[in-house]
Amino acid sequence: MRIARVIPFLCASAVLANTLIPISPAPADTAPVKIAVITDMSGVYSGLSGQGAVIATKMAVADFGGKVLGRPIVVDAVDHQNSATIAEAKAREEFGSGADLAMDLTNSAAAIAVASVAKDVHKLAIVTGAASTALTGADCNKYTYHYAYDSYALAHGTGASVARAGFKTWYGIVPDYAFGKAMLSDFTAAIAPYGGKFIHADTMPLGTTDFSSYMLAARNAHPQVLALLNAGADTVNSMKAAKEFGLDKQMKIVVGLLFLSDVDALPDVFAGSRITDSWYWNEDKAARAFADRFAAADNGLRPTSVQAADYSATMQWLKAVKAVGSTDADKIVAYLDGRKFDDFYAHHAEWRARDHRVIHDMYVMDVLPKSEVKEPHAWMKIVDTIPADQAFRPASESTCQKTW
Amino acid sequence: MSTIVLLVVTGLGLGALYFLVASGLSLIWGLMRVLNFAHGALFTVAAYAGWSIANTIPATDAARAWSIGLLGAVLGGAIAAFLLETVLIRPLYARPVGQVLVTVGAALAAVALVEAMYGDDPKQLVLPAWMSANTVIAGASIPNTRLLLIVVALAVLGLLLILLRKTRYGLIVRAGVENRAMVEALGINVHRAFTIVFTIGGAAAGLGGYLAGTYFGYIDPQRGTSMLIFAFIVVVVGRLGSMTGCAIAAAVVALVQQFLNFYAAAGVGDFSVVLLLALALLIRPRGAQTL
Amino acid sequence: MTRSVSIGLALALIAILIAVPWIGIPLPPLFGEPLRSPGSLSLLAVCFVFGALAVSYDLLFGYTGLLSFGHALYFAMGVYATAIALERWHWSLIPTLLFVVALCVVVPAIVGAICLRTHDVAFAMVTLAFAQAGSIVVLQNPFGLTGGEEGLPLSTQSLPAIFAGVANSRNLYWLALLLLIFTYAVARMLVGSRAGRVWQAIRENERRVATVGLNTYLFKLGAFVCSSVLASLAGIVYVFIEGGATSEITTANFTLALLVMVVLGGVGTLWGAVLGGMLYEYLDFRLVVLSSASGLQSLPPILRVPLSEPLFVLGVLFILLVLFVPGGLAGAFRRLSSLSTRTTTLTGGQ
Repeated sequence: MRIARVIPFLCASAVLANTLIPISPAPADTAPVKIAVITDMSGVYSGLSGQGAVIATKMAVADFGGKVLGRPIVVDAVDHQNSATIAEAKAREEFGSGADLAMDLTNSAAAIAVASVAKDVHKLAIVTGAASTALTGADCNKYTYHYAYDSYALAHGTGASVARAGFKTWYGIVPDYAFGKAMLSDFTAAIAPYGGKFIHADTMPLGTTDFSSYMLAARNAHPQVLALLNAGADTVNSMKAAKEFGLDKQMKIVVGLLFLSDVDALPDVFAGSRITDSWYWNEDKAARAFADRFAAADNGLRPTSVQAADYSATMQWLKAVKAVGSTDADKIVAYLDGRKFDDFYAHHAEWRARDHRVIHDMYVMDVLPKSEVKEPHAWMKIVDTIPADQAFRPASESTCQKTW
Repeated sequence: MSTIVLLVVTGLGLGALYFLVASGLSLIWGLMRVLNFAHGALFTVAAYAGWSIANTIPATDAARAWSIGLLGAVLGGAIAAFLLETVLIRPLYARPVGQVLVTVGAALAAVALVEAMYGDDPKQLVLPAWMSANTVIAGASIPNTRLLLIVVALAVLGLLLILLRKTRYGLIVRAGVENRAMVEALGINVHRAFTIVFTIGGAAAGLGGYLAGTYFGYIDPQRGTSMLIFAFIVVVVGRLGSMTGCAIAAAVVALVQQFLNFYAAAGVGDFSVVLLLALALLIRPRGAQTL
Repeated sequence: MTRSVSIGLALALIAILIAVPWIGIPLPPLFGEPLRSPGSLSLLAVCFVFGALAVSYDLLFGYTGLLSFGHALYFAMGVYATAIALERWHWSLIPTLLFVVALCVVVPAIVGAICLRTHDVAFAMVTLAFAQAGSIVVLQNPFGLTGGEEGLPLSTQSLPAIFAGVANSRNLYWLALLLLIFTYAVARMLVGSRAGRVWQAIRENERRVATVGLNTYLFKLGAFVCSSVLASLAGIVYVFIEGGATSEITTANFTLALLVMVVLGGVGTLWGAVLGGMLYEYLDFRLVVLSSASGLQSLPPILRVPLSEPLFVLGVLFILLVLFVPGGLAGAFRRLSSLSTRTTTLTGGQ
């Protein structure tokens, strides 16, 4: 009975409190500027991004001077454990406790989830480690930039470069998920202008363990190019099967998605394949200088393109904060949109306003066999450069419904 | 013609892998009625044990490194299985659901431990040169690892059959699969037989883990769990506890996969294998007793 | 514990939980932020959802003894049906909710009818097979509906206004709390009803129940459908909290996680399931952060490395519970309280 009498009192105070007590304290002007590096710290992507991403971001902060607008800069390392749910919750937590920028976001599902949070809280998220073109397409928003690579750029770089060299008949091994299908359609479009076409594309069910039957079928089809549009463990398995059945001697092998960290783990498997990436640590003097400093901080490992992108994006953002005089996301977006820039990572780059795709040159590379590798981690050789204005989906073809 | 030879041999090679993983599971399930979810973890732990031991030997002596690694994997699997059975499963004989649950927990913990200790990146296995080469049979160029697997699987099958048919413990196991209650009623120490069966199952899983690493060229923490699905399918399609049944089922499942994936559309083979499983589960001739 | 005392405690607990969004106490290292911050509220809300989900699974596994490895399918169905209806078909809220509930009565009825023709291990495998099939369908992104492995985020127009925006995270918190209370109340009511008693009898000895003349198949099907509907309701709330659907809830790992939650908390006690669900999700989220807290960092690597893997800790905890505390955390609590009050209680069977 006494409980019943308390309830109206509780309700009244509830309504009152809800209107009076704000949900989070307003940031003070001396509070640190916080960057939350949200990535996979211990799982399958930890080699690609992981601790190295945090190191790269901290390097940028240190090089910038450690302070901006009179406030110290803090970098939070957050492990999303490859779970979009955890990424989303951690992003909320970080933004709620004063983070001004979410960085890296390796893993497309996690990136898309955090982009949604960024839009909710009106703070910036810069994605360097995810491939999905949905980030600048169906899931685009004002507060998210897609900085490094995406599946379109990978497909067009490799596809155009190889087709242009005269390789016209293609055979595709495609995984049956969104990434694979996107890669196939992007590759098909990329090779078409040069007379290339897919004579066949096998869609692998998820969790295929054995690729031998698919390799046999590929061999019998006698294509000029075998395109392994897989990601992760599938790429390794299919590459190995391709070599076992001698396909690498018969045709050119092209891999959809591959990073320095993958080759570091299994160099023998990937030798001879052609890929596209946004940056290579030994591409020129400036890149090498950064790579040397990074190696000193990370046990001699060379930075992957994603880690270099983290440095670059952090530096660019800090410069924008300084120029704008505030960490307010709306002002920074207004400052960045349409702005062109150039640094050791991004050449001929622009923060594209149409869909928040950051465009820059991309590079087509071959993975060298062990015998041609001159120093540790020097696995790649650049064979072609795709200029920024051709590397990514043209602004006119973007599916982003721009609401800002 | 060479295509068919290639498909058959690679199919049998894959089937050999399935058999190695499934044989232990079939014995354990058939005799002890324990659905060992930790079998994939045994596979993984043993593979990493083998890899770690192989790594202590310089890579130039690849043959020795690989063989010692193989021994390490088999021993690792046996020891891990022994520990699993005595520490976790034996106390729960009165609670069959508890036994299944404890294997689930062990699987989670063991794989997580391997990931924590070795990281998620794949680890390359050092192979002697001849294993990376191909042999030409009837016009088909076949990777030697497939042939190795077939030979090893046949040897293991032979060993297990001798064990089951010619030894006392084998007799107990076969009797126990038929009618466990009777065996216990006869006063035979079934528990020791259980431990031995579990240990043998673990050794087979370890062998499977290391050879899978040989087949794929590397080991990673997730392989065991993904192999477990196929092991279950093979055990259900074959007859529980029967080694020949298991071997035939493994060969059938793998060959169906290979041929359908090649001649029909990609993925049809894998789908049809799952269909086989569903049918086998829903139309068991002996009813629920078998499972 | 007398009935009025436990009701009083329950109401007090609910009052505290309702008041949490105004409690600004920081609780490190339990929470990174003060309780009323969006981050902590969001974590608590997800914990409530998982508590409700664990309760629904406890009905099936703990009370009826049906070891299903495919329960997560109905949670995922709730999640995806809601997200698709709101985002792809642009339905408004009420038709969406009606559609999802209807779907999550019909589908489990059909699937359950098939699966329940088998028993024990075969039943577990068949339910797993259906869940796997569902997972594959989601990942294949048919007609562009599910978003595949990239997930399906809800745009601001699709989300009901009271749930959109960070300022409204407290509304989501209360929604999740409401879900938990509702699910618990329904489960408690079902368990205490005649059907509930038959379920528990089936768990103990199905053959005996059949001999008495009851149609065990129909009762089991009833349990299957009831628990699936409750799971789908949890899915609906989950979509609002997360702002979309993600594919990780369709994986086999997630189904196993449900099993761990219920066993952790106590099979056959509803509040144990709530505890297990909340604890599991909390640990999954915070363990990585907790492990980098100074206490653990000072441990030698041989202890620190395994302890910072959430799944390792959970797996070991799970094993210890199954071995020594079959009633889960709830069972342990019961045992402690029975030691002091010297009354014997029936713990959930296995």
